[in-house]
Amino acid sequence: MARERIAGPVVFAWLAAAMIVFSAVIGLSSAKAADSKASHVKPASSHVPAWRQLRPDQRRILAPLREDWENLEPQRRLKWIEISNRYPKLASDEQARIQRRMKAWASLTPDQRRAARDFYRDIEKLPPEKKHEVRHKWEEYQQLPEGTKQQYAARQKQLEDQAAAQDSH
Amino acid sequence: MNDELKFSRKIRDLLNEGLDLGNEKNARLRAIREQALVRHRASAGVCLPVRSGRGSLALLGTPEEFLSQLVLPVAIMIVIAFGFGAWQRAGTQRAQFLELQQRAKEVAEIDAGVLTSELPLDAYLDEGFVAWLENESQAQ
Repeated sequence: MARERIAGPVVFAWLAAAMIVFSAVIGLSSAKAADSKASHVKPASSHVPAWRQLRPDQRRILAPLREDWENLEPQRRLKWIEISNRYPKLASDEQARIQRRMKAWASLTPDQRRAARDFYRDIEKLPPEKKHEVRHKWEEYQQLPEGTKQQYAARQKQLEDQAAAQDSH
Repeated sequence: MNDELKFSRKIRDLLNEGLDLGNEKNARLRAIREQALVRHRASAGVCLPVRSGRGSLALLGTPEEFLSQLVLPVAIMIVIAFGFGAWQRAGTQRAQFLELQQRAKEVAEIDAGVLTSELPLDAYLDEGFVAWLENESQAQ
């Protein structure tokens, strides 16, 4: 009887202590998760390799990015690692192009890269014969007077600004 | 009225009058009471704060019992709780990483196409070329 009278409050105290500890831990976890979501970098950065953690073959392929590597965001590092994994399967002329363009591509602004990707997607939608023709069209375009090229550039910029304004509404 | 009832009334009257047993008897009674409490606590297997006859707060239970019955389980519970929290955080980080990796693969597919393309990088960045090409394709 005495045991029952004492056991009741003890069990209650145990349950209360368990709830407090679990609440504190879960609260701590949620706060940390919220912090990490706000930064977009912290959670994944521990999984994204630093330059010295790359494999020797990856370091060789990505050598043009060596100086900038530590400043690249986690997603961009993972993207370059993915490209380095595909690299051995590419033809030698494609490998050479990647090596030549890598540093310039990495130094572009996000908007420039986005515009280039959009253009690439548009070209990819073309039938094969048209796709091949784009290369010749580029050479043809380069022969145009500078003023004409600037007019087209201004028109394109206007279209992009209009599209951006529509997206923001 | 029977003898038992009479006897109990006598005891009640005596208790109401008050007992002056003297210091020595009072001390012996207090010691006996405390011993009884210790035995009771040992048989109940719990440790609770109680008021002693002198009015001071004392903890029931030996240090070993206090350690094994309260401190140790609470410590184990805290370790389990923190372990669970760490496991949960690791899972969240892993999920975020996999999501990031998936997005990186999708972008790598396109970037690899641009970087290996026969078309020079300048062509992809020339806004005039994009507009002119569109104009040309519409004219055809």
